[in-house]
Amino acid sequence: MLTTEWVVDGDAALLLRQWGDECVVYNSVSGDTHLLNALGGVALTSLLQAPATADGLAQRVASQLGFEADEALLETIGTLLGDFERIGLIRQHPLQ
Amino acid sequence: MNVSALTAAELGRRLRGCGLSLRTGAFVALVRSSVPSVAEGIGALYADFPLEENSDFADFHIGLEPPRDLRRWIYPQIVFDFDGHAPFKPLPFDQAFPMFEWGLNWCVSSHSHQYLIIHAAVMEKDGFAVIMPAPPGSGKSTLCAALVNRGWRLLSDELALIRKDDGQAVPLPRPVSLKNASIEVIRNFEPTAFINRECRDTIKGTVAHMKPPRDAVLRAQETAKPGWVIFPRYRKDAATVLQARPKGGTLMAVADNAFNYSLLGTAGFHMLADMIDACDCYDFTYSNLDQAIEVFAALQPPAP
Repeated sequence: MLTTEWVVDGDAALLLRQWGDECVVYNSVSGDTHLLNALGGVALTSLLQAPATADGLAQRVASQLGFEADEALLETIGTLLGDFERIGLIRQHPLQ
Repeated sequence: MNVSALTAAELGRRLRGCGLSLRTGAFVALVRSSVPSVAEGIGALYADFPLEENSDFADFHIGLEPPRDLRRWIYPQIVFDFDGHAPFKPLPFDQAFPMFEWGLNWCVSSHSHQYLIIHAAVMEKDGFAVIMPAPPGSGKSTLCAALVNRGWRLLSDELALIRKDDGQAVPLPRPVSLKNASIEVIRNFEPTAFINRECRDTIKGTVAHMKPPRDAVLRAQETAKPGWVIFPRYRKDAATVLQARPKGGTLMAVADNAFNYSLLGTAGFHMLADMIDACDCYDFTYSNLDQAIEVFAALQPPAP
């Protein structure tokens, strides 16, 4: 099975501001502004630092937030990644 | 020289002739009109405003005249002219002064992109500005009119201008627009405030304008640091409640109330985010103006 990792779209030039549990991200390519919850903010920040597979990102997010990387978190991260892709923040990249 | 230095006859003559160069905050509007209600409104509500006597420059060239066709005899109307163009459909003739006010707001909000422009009232106290963005019907202008009659300095009742280089709120003191029941509310709240003749059956209902306090006009070049972002909401018989709101959601809501946030691109995001960073953010529900004044008087400057 082909595995992919997720990367922040190189053209997207994202600007982030974090306030408590909220993160606001501005996409300077689309001109759109998005409000993310704590999980979304941590996940996007993590992807900005380095690409990750969905599993890998779940591990990173779990470690940062003190969660257990269980099935529920993996499912949530999967949904989140789909949302991020849909609004043009990230894209899939075949894992080398 | 201020507008008040002109006699009614001289004011009318200038408006009908070479125009009146009126300074409102950072802008100069050259106004021409032969309509008596425009002269009456400017004479009464802009009495303390300075005239630019020796300048060939104006930011906005505005005219208010009846259309030059048969309509002027059948159904008297007024046309707002901006730099030789008519950006709006004509309004009934007796709405000429409200149209001047609305048109001047449009001139600023559509052309002054050196600022981040938010649809909001702005008042200042002790150097800090409270930004009150809100959709129509929220009681924004009523609360603004009450506050500026109780010690707050009026920067604007409609347009918050945030300067790009330092994030300061730039004054644009102009008459405060009041609608429907709020006209009587403010007449009762502050009987000494001057409110001009009501204009009925406009697109906004019955409208009138309150003369801005003289101090606000004299200090029109004095900027203020944004300290609070407060979303007001008038609800009949509601308790007075000031409730902190999260900053991320506040940024989104202010962006929704901004005229040129998207147009300014990344600069707009930085300006807005910096402003939100520096401000304490609240929702404010009220029905009693005296209680509202007390709550605003107790606001503490945001922590540095």
